[in-house]
Parts: sequence; C-alpha cells; structure tokens
Amino acid sequence: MNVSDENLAELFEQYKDEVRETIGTLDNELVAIEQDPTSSETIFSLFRHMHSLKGSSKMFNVDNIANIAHRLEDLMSLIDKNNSILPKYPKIIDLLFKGNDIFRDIIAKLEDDITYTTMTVDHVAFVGEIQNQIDKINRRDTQLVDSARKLVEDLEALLPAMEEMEIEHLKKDIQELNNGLALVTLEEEGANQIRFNYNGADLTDDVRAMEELLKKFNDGKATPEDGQAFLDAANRLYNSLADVATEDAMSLIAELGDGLSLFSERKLEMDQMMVEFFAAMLKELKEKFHVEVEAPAAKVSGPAKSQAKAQEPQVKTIRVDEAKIDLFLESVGKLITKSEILNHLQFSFRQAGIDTGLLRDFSTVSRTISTDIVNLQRSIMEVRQVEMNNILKKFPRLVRDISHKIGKEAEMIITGERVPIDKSLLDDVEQAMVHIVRNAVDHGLEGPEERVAAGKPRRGTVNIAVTPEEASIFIEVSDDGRGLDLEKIKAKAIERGVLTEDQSQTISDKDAAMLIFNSGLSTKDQATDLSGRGVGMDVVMTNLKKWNGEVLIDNRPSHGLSVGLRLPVTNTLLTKEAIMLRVGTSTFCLPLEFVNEIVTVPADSVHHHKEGAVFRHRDMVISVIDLKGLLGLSDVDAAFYAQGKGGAGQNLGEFSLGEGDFVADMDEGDGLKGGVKNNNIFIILRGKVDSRQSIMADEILGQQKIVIKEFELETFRRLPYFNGLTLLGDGRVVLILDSEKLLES
Amino acid sequence: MPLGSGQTVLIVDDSPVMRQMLFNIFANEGFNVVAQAADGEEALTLFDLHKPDLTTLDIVMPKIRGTEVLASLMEKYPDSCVIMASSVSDARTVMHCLKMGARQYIIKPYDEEKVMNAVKKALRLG
Repeated sequence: MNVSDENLAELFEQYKDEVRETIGTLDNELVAIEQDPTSSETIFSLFRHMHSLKGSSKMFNVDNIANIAHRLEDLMSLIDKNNSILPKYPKIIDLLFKGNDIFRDIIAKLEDDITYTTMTVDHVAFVGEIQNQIDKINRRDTQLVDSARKLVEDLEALLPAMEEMEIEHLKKDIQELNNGLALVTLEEEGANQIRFNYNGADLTDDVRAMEELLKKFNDGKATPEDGQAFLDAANRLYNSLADVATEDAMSLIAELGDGLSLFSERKLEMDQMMVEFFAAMLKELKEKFHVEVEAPAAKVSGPAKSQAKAQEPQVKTIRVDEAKIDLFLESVGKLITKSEILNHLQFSFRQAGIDTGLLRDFSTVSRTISTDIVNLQRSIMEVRQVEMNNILKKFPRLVRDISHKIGKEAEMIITGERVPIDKSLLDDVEQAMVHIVRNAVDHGLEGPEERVAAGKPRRGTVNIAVTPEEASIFIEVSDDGRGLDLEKIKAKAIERGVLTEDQSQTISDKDAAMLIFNSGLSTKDQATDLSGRGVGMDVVMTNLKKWNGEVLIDNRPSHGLSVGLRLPVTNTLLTKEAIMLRVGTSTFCLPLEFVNEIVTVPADSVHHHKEGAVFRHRDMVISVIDLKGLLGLSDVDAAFYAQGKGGAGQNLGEFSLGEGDFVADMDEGDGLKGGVKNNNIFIILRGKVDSRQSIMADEILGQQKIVIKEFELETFRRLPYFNGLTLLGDGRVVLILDSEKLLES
Repeated sequence: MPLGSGQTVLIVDDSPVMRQMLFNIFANEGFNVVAQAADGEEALTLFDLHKPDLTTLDIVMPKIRGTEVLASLMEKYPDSCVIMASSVSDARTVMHCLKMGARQYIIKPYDEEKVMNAVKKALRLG
C-alpha cells in the first residue's frame, strides 16, 4: 500500500514551496557570505541548505535539483572544512548564485511541466563547472604534496648527519610520509596496477571482488546473491586482516568488523547506504594496506560546531488554496449584505410603528450577527496576510546583481520584514519596489570614486523600511545617492511634451520630482539594460493607484532620494463603512474615510461660479463639488422630495466626526434628514484638514457597512466618478463615489 | 493489514515536507504520530514529553545535530527505539550512529516500503 497520489501531489506542492523558501534564504546568505567570506556560521548554513535541497529533491525524484545541490553540497563541505577557501576563490560565490538561479528556474518550470526533473545539457555543464572548481581546490592540496615532497628530500639529505642520534622514529616518520606521497602518485598513474598487501598477505583478489560487486550495486544490477557475496568477501578480508593486523591498522579493521556485525545484526538493507559505507571502507583499506599512511581524519562534524549554528524561527503553517479563501470571503460578503437587510427590516418595522419586545430581541440578534460577521471577515483577511519578507527577501540579491553589473558598491538595509501585508497586494507592491530599487542603484547611487570625491562612504546604501500604520502600511525606499536632477527632469519632460515651458517655470520641486513616475521620462542619457529606458517608474504609480495607495517623494539633491509608498490596509478589505447621500433623486455611497466633517448650511450660502461652487467655512473658502451639476442629475424640487419621503425634520447644525465614531445614532436608521425642510444642504468636508474641498448633498441617509463590488464590465469601469457598486439592505443597487477622481475633476 | 497498532511515533526532520511524508507513511500504517520536531532541541523536549515507542531522526538540522540528539537520548533512555533517517551517507556517520544505539539507518530518498522495512526490524514486528 502506498501513500495516495493526492497526498503526493499535495506533498509536491509543499516541496516546491519549501524549495522556493530555501532559494530566498540562499540569496540572502550568499549576499552575506560575499561580505564576510570566512563566516563559518554562514558557510555551515549554506552547506545545510544544499544538503536539505538534495535530500528532499531526491525524495521527489527531482534529479536536476538533487544533482546540482549534491555537487554544491560537496563544494560547501570543502569550504566548511577550510574557511580560507572562499577568500581565495571569490568566483565560487558567483557559482553559488548561478546555482540558486538554476534552482529558481527549475522550480518555475516545474509549475507548468512536472516532468522537468531531469538534467538538461546546461545542468550537466553546470555540474561540470562545480566539479572543476572542486578539482581546482583539491589541486591546491596537491601543491601541498609537492612542497611536502621537497621537505622529505631535504630531510633525507640530512639523515647521514643524524646517524649517531636516536633517530629511528624520525626515519620511520620520513619513510611513512614518503610512502604517503608514493600513494598519491600511484593513484594518479593508474589505480588498477596497485596490489594490496598487508604484512605479506595479498588482499588484492578480495578487494577487487568487492570493487566489482560495488560497481554492480552502483549500477543497480546487483542481485541478492551479490549482496551475500559481497558480505562474504568483506568478512574474508576482515578475517585475514584480523590475523595479521598490527596496532596502527587495528582501529580501521575493527571498524570494518563492527560495520559487518552491525549490518548483519540489524539486518540492514543492502542499499545505497551499504554501498557507500563499504566503498568508503575499501578506499581506506586500499590506502592502508598498500602502504602505511595515516588514515584521513574522519570528519564527523563535531558537537561544538552545530550548536552555535543558525537558529531560524520555525513557523508552523498550513497550506490553503487561495481560491478557497476568496470563495469564503465572497460568502462572507454575501452575509454582510444579508445582515444589512436585517438592519433595514428592523428599521422598517420601527417606522411602521411596530415596537414590541420581539422586535427588540430581533434588533439585538441582528446586531450580534453583524459583529460576528465582521470578526469572521477580519480573521479571514488575516489568513490572507503574509509577511513583507516574502517580497523583501529578494532585494539584497537584486541590489547585489545590479551594482555588480554596473560597477557600483551598494549595501542593502531592510527593516520591517515581519509587517503583514495582504497577499493580493504582493505582486503589485513587489513590482513597484523593484523599479524603485533598480532606479536607486542605477540612477541614484554614484560610482565609488564619485562618492569618495563627494565625501561619502565608498559604498552606497539602499534602505527599505516597512512600517505598519493604523490603517495603512508605509514602505520607504531611500538611498544616499545623488538625488534627482530636477532641471534635467524638467527639460526631458518638456522635450517629451509632458510639460510646457511655462509650467516648468512654476512647477514646485515636489511636483517636478513626481514627474519621474510619468511614463516616457528618463534622466539617464545613456540607456542601460537596467532601468535607463524611462519605463518602469510609471508602473509604480499605476500599481499604487490600483490599491488606492499614494506615492510620496522626498528629494534631497546630492544627499539622496526617498520614495514612500503608502498602502491603505482597509482597501484590501472588501467592506467599508460608508455614508449614503441623496443628491436629487439619486442615492450614492461615499466611503467614510473621505469624510471628516459634515456641516449643514443654507442652500444659498453656496456660491456658484463659472469654475465651480464655493462656500465659506470658518473663514476658509472651500470648493464644493456639486454632484447634480457634475453628473447632470435632474434637479427635483427638494421640498417635493422631502414630502414624498417624509423627512424627520431636525436641524443638526454643525457637527464633527471623531474617529469615525459618529453616526452611532445613524445605525438606528434615523439618518440626518430634515435639513431639507429648512432648505438646508449638507456639505461633506473631506478627510484632510488642509484640502479645502467638499461635496454637496441634499440629504445624508445614513451610515452602513457596504460590500464593494468592483465593476466587472469595461463600460462601467470607464465611469468617471465611481469605483464600484454595492447592494443596500433594501435591495437597491447604489454606485460608490470615488472621492479621488471627484476631487481631480 | 497495517503494520502498526497505535505505537507512538516522534518524527524529527527540519524539512516540513519530509515530516509530512513520514507522517503520511506512519498514519497509513496504523501508527500514532504524537509529535513532530523541526530541530534537535525540539526533538529532545518532545521526546521527554511523549516518550514515543519509535523515533525517526534526521541528522543535519539547526540547533542540535541528530547525532548529538541520539547521544543524549541513548544516555537518558538507552532502550529507546531510534531510526536514523537522513541523507548523510558517509560511512563514519552511519557507523557512529549504529554504535551509539540507533536501531536502523535509512538514507534519503526513502519510500514507504523502505521505511516500513526499517520499522519492522527496529520494533521487531511481523
């Protein structure tokens, strides 16, 4: 019985996730090792990750990753034993980066083609490259052998002079060293010529037999009889050795004996492990019994080492299909609408004069349901959240690659990796950040010489800081480069027809800096293949707008540039608090985040000019958006309308909204009506104190939670002043006003 | 017939995929996986807590290596049944673990059959 296919498919998804995560970690560790190439901690961690990659990839028969990781593990294991290797061979780091890119590529291809698991020509070539590197390192050891040989010669020359002294042991040492060198030489000349003997016993036949059998195991051609034959040969070898062994060879022979008995006692399978075990033993035996040399020190990584190693936080996770969460959210969206229906019903009952204990119970229950649904929705939204690290982890590598390519030196500092962000934002935010960071390195940072000349550190810094704010997250990418050359930008903008000569005289520095987000502008005369083509930064604006985010820029000429991205968290929720407006006979929704203050004023206090309407409020002239005029709505007689609806008639005068806790009364459905009766209108002042902009409405109908449905039809999307629609409790469909677009009008 | 009859199992591996894979295999064969550890430190804590009938132990892990976990376990609970499950295949490590008292040593990649063969021998079942 085997683990079911469905399980395997699920596991395979997990495997790919795990590899992707490892790739991200490797990128960062490689950047770190480049800066500190002797850090034994990072070296060990790299080794460990290659080792794990090999293990899990073998498990899923992803041979290409397994093979490459295996070879890189070998390489890292060499480096782990001798941390002076990396400074000597800095090219190894490029090799490791390349390996990581290949892993990334394989995982991406596996997404479309699950059979992309075998070695391609490129993969084979890359493994060859790694092997060359390993050989190169080992050859260096051969050079050591050469110098040792020289030393032996020198010592031998001294021997006659030492004849009189007690130098027997010294002679022996020299002899052994010499023999060791002879072995190295012989192996180079052709291992098959060697006969193995120990104190007169010729072991060649057994050793050869075992080698033949091992080859069969390795080729997968071995039969169970071969396994037995192998163990027999090994036993014979052991017995003949045990007879003749002298003290110095004893430990190795004992080990072989232990191995044999342990393997038979535990009935271990004759599998790859046994093959490897005996192969290693044989290799040592060959060395041992041809000539006496010191057995290579066995390297079982010591205890002291690993304890100090990487301590990574482990986060327990479950995998949930994103589509399932979306489906779940959609249901919650429907529930919210339903609970608004309950609210509306309750309101209608009360209006109809029904006020019983039953209704009060109903009200309580309906309110509890609303709260529960909101909590439910919130927790689902949290499930959708991932840490910013998902995006951030790729930047050290990005900065490294770009700066290397163009001969700059750059350091990346990141803070706020753990700030949560909604998954749906990831791609757009990442894309925007990549453009900003590229521009920072490519255009912002000066070359090392220019920096030194300007009295700055040789190495430039790119800083990414992510800060959670109350209802948004703020991502700031800053560099300590040269900043923006506003004159150059303006000149380019004029050249491209984005700006007129006149405008360029009056444009503020801030607005001029913002021009870099305009498509088709580039400040670099020479296009590089990185970000000099003037494309890219407009993507930042497009992506941020899509999520109602804002882009801020702080240009400090010759000190650097800082680009801030503010993304509202609430926008990732699909519900919003909104107020309902009546304008003429139409009802609209206006998200509460737009609303700071609502005042009622006599209709005639609003002055209509050619350029638009204004009114005076606390000694400020505030421009008023007249939806009726803007949207061409029929101007129904307000009094008539009020009569038809039966306005409640209370003049609320002026009131301010606290942190959105107003309209507690409105929840009861009373609304803010009655201004109409006195021929008053409502002016809604927008969120920002200094904005001096407002929207005019005939009536505020109430506040409620709305579920935003984005327009699905392109026709609707082109509507100038709206960004979606919602279903009200009474079943009416209402358009949602897009305050940003309105204010631009 | 499943091989196991509710014997408790502790799975130790730093790779979640590997843990899940072993979990599936054990669950499928009637064993009761009581805990999973992602590093050597967790392994020791969870072993103390559950005293499982069987432990599968990876070697290259953060914090404490599997070989040291094995040494501690053997010192404290000499009779505990541990199967090494690692992709470390060098002879000395294998020997070292078996000498210390690991009942079996399986090398990645393993499949259900390989794992269960090792379990059968380690627990002297069937």
